Amino acid sequence: MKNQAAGGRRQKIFVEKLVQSFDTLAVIDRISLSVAEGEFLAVVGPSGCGKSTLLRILAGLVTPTAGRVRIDGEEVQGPNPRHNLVFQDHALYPWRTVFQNVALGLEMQRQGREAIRKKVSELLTLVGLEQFAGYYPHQLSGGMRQRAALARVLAVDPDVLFLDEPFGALDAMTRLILQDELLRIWLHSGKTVILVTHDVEEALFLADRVIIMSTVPGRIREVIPVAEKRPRDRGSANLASLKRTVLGILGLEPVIGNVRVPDTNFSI
Amino acid sequence: MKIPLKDIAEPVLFFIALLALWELLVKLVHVPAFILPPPRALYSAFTAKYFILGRHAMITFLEAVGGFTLSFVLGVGFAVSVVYSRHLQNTIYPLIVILYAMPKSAFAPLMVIWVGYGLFSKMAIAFLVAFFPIVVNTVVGLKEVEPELLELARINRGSQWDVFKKIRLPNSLPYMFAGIKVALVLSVTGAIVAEFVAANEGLGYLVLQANYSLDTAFALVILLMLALLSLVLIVAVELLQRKMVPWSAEVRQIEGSF
Repeated sequence: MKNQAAGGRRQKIFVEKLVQSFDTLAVIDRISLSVAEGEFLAVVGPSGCGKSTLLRILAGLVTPTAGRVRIDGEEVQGPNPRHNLVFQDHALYPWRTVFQNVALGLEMQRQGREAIRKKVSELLTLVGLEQFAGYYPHQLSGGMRQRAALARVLAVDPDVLFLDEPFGALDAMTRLILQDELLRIWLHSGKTVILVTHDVEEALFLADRVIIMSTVPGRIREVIPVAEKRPRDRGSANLASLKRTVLGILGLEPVIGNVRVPDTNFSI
Repeated sequence: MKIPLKDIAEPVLFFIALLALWELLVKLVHVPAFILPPPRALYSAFTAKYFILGRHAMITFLEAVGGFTLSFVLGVGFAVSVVYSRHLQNTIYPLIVILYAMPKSAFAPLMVIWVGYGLFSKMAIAFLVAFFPIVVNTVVGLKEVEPELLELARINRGSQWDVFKKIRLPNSLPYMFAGIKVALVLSVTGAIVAEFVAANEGLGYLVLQANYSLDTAFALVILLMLALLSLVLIVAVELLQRKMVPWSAEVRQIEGSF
């Protein structure tokens, strides 16, 4: 296992005083953060807190209004296949079969036909889609589409993986299964992962650290380290207590008796 | 694909009943044959003149398909250049829009002067009416790409050519096919109108001749022939579409409805 515990490793991603505003609206307000190599970082927050925008800036798709992002010490100035993104809505090409979708990045990198075939089959096996290589996206279930999207990103072997609510549109059961798979793949890969999600349990189950964002303007509200060893027990008391903490920070703390404990300085 | 017997029997019976009713009403009300002939008169007109009908249908078919083919080749080429070139978008496109606003069939008399009396003036009109649906649909298809699909190409450093060949072009295919279907029907209409203006062959010419001699039965047969012509073309395109874009939502829906 290459990935376990983030402590004492080299910085992979370094974000400095990032600001993103549309007209006068600050979507992201002075976010600074650093991510260690091989770390699994989760970002949670209410919708509209700029977490997707943050991810798109890190991936080089959006140029920030101010501030800098450095990956491996180099300033991010545009998209790069080494820092690849899985979109919320799978973004598979409807006219390409699963095989052709997974092959896309490799094709664009002008790899040989045989190398592509080998790599794609390997990845389809990894995500359990080897039987569905010839299917079109519309013939697959939601979970299978996300698997294909994951395989497509892994095909170009990026060292940073940005995941933008990848399981957000899936049913609860499929989501749990895919979380397990993602964890399995990540543990063997050594890749740095930043996962944006609105699912607190998902974040706590997967991540080394959970970043909680506030909305308008999007700021980092709190960083919660999750020390528990993997694979984690979803029902553990520790995770449950962490969940309570996170929900509390988000202003969604559970009802105690009949009285909802109000959050004095934060509202969604 | 297995079609239930009921779905075949129902329309067949309906059409037989319709024809019987037509025959009966014409007899009972004593409608003169030059206004509305009975179906049997249509049948005898067909059996007496099917050879002539076939020959002229061939002419109209050539004109329509010739004009359509030209509109497809030039239309797709033009759409691609407009999408990729700002200069063309600023210069030629407004010109095309003005042309689009004109009734294309009104060019038919001019085309006789410009292109001549024969087949090519009809093809020219068929081309004119078919050109716009192809251009408009293809332009939309090339432009309306999900932003994520383009971003993915950016991340993977796909070339301009990759983006065109692997994203924009396939994305435009369902739109293009929608345009092609409209264009085909219009090109048949265009050819007919051009024949009305000046021709000595083709179904448009033939229907005028039937009219002059008050041969209403034959005129109706010619109209049915035109319907058949358009249907054959549409079905051919439909089959091609299923083969070429099996992934398209529209195609899937059509499959479901058969």
